[in-house]
Amino acid sequence: MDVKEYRRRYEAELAAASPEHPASFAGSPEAATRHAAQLGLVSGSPPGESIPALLATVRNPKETVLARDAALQALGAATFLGEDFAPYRVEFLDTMRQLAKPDTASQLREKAVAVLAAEKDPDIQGMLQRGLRDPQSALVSAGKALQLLTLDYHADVAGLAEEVFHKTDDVATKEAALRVLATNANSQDLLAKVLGDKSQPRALRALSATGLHSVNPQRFAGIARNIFMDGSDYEDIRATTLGALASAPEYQALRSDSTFLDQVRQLGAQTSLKNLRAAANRLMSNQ
Amino acid sequence: MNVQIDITGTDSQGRVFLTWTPVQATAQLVGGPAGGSVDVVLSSAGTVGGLVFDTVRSDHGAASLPLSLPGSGAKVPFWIAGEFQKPSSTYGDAVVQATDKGNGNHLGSKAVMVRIRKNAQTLPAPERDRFLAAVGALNAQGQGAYRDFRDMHTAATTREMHGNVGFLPWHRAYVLDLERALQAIDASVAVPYWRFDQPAPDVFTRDFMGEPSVSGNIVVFRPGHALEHWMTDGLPGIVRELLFGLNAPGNVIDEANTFKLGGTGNNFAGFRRMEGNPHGSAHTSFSFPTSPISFVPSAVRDPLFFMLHANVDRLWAKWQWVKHRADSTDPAAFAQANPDRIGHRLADTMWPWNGVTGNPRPPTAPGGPFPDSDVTPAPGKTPKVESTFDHLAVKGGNPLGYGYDDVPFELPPTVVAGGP
Amino acid sequence: MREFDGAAPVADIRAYVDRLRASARSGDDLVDLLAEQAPIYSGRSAGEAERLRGYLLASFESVGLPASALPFVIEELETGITPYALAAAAKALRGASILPAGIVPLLLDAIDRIRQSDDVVDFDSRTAPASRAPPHTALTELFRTLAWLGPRARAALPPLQAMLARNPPVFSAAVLAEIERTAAALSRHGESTPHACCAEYPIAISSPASAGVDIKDVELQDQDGAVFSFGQFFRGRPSVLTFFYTRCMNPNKCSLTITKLARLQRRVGEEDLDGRINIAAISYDPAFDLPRRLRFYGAERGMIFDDRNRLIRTTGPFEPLRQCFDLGVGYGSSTVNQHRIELIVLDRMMRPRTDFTRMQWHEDDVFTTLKAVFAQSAVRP
Repeated sequence: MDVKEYRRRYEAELAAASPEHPASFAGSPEAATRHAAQLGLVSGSPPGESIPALLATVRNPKETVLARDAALQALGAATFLGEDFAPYRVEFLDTMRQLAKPDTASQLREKAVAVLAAEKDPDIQGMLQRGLRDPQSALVSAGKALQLLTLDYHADVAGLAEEVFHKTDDVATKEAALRVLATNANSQDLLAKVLGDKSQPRALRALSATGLHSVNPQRFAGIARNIFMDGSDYEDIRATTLGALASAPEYQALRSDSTFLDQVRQLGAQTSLKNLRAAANRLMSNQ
Repeated sequence: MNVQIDITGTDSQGRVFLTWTPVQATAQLVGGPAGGSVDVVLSSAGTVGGLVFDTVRSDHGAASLPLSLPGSGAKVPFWIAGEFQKPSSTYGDAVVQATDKGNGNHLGSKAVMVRIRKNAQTLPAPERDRFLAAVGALNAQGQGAYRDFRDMHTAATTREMHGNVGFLPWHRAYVLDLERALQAIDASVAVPYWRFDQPAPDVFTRDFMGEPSVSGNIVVFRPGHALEHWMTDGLPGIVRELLFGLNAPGNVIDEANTFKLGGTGNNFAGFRRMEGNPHGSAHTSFSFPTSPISFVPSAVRDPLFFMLHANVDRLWAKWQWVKHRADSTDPAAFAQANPDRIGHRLADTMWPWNGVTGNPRPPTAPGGPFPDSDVTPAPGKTPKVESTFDHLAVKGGNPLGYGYDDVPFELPPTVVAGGP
Repeated sequence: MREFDGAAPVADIRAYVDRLRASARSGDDLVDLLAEQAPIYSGRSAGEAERLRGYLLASFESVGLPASALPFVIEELETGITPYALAAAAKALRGASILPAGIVPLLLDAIDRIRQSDDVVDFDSRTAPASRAPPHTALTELFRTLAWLGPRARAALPPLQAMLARNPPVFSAAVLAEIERTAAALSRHGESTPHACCAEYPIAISSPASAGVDIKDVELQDQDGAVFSFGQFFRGRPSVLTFFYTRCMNPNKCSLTITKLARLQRRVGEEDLDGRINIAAISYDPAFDLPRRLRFYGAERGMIFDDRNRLIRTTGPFEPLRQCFDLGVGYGSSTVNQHRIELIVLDRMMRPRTDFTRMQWHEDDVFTTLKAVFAQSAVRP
């Protein structure tokens, strides 16, 4: 491709491109978000000038939830402006605190709670923990609360997460709880148990594999080897555990385990189970 | 008799990685006729990657080049580059072939790679998997060098790279730093870009960057995926909830409108507002702030960050190309720092690679100096803001060693072919 | 003085502090509650512990700031990154009758550090925040302290004027108004030399804090997985021993500590003392800081590793070391909730000789101390 010709075509494309008008994005929730993003951040004026308008929209109970949510998303983009956003930060956080209340629309409430949790606000951490203990007072679902509490490792909720894990039957909530526990050394027995239990959902076993490897690599290596060698276990979990071993080259014992390596090599060459084959080949290539 | 081809930037394992920038090379006859010469033709003979040749540094090389090589074995110089829009898929699929012009005999060849950053949406599976394997190895389940990159981009360091004119130069260096770290694991890897103003349904899948989970928890990878055991900040997995349809673009302004930010004067001062939209809007096209990528302090926890920023960098590179703004001495190509802060002026070295710590810089400088590359000496161990400007070295000098599949090498109007 | 533990309701603790404030009793009653290892913080999350500690610190404004509490205040101003802690330190300073030199640059540094992360702060549990207008933020509290210093803080005028001149402004309207008031206060006629109790902060304290706990057999593991006892590593050579953990989120603490330790290593190498001195850091978080994590953390910060230079974890509980050295570290239910900067120079008999706590230490000062200990070790049989 001749570069001059390429330039000519591209410049023609640019000239033909239509400007993006806020009006052209009316209608769908995604469009509203784009509209708000446009409103906030694309204009001839300095970036920060739109932020007060966005804050006013978020705070205004007469605006639709959709518009307020879109403005909140746009404010999220505005936080990337660094010092241009700094003068509005206190007002922004204050607005979030006003929204983090039971009578706020759930869409806005959840987002506001999330912002404060990301800021590691101890008051909101306390509220989330109280909500886990007393669901009647919860501002967000249990799974969401746990997810938000992981935004601050020092929120220190491992004990609560383990309680929730055992109490709930909801897999998504269990997954959120397990994510909290995945790097807690005191939870390694639970992680080992879930990993080795074929009746557990795949997502939980996979997360346990990651966690156990993190807190006790040697213990994980032993269990992973057994799972891999167990032809009756599910292909996907065998591939998952093999994948964990592939990207963690500290397993000296396994490197000299010829039975294990032979099995990996064979699977890499033969199996029709493509995930297992790919993981096996990746482990062999890292040897 | 054969022809030996040597290309500048050959690495310690004898490999050559090219971009669109012409590099110097030589051809010499080995075992040729004493006192005579042989007419040869150099041509591009690869199956995928294309090459172009010229006798001068130009932007219009051809697929073949006749040369007369002395029998004495004296080296004859020429220039070689990747053929625009014909990047390699793997090492060795681009080949320089030397043929005897008289009888058509094959006299030698050299397998190389035209290594280019590509659109992630159309990235072939083998390239995708090599990229992912390298990223997974860099993370090493939270115990690898990815931690360095994570520590560079936090709330405490944000003034080094956000909200000021150094935003684009710093992130260019940052993505390149990571890319070189990946290439130390697998030299064939280049960072693909997530083109956020276009639908990218094949990016957010179990095979690539993870499928969004229905519950809003961590994304789902296929079993055995290289990122399945991703860990940062002591937490496993990546939470990433899309706020746009899988078959829709991100909530951003498109490329053409991004370029319009520069105004009729095509000034950097206007263009740099892209930091808000599309850059900030791309980040917050995911639920804010529960998706780490949507929040400045946590954004690097998600490796999609580097694909997002590769696209941000591509937009800058493309704007620089189409508006002729790659020259750091051009007042319209940059802008005055506001506030006037170290790290945002052309001649400033950039943290953390300069190793400078203590107010006004952050307290530590993780990662050490900028990594070297066999391909090019640029930008050096302590790059300055100005050394990031001309990634393809259209003005001359040394390129940064990467390129984009849609940003060509074109000499600016002020530089003629055969220049430095 | 009332005793509190980690189970005491926060409201009770605040009520006790409020009574102290109201009675204008001496701040000495509160100082013991500031130590990171105090039972009051045990089992609490980092955020909860910080709020409590901040509330205590802020109380010194009304009850007076004793000299023994000053290091806590200086520490927050020097390394604190959260609005609540910095605001508390700013308020505490306003209870001081004598101030150390160098307080103005510290306040300005703190302002710079949280310039983009300001937030509302509340140190009065008796009235609802909404009833107080305008809300106090960490930045306004820091500027108020500068204003309180008055002409003694005149050196801060040029940076304040630069802040007011910024366009677009980086501060909110409320903070800008506070800056204007502060600038006016600094410009008043009056004494411009700050009182000084001492030329420098008390960063080095001789510390015989070895609470009779025998730690020579405590099992340790280094960044390469090698296992040895405390005595095997530390006995026989003078040592620099510091503490850290890889999940510390304050870049001015552990990350900087290990970075400076690496600089100290280079200094030791330049002076040909490497091999004759131990340089080590032990993790507060041994369950998480496994060898590979330790190695990478140190390498990323420039540390070199060999027989005498290691990053270490205990293979068992950390508690014996904590007790032996009376370390300033507190724990929540599963991890560290707060800790101070801590570096100890041990002699070859593993006795602590000098302790650098709370304030940022400079590798030159540590090296000077180390050389002195080394010289003494060489003289003794």
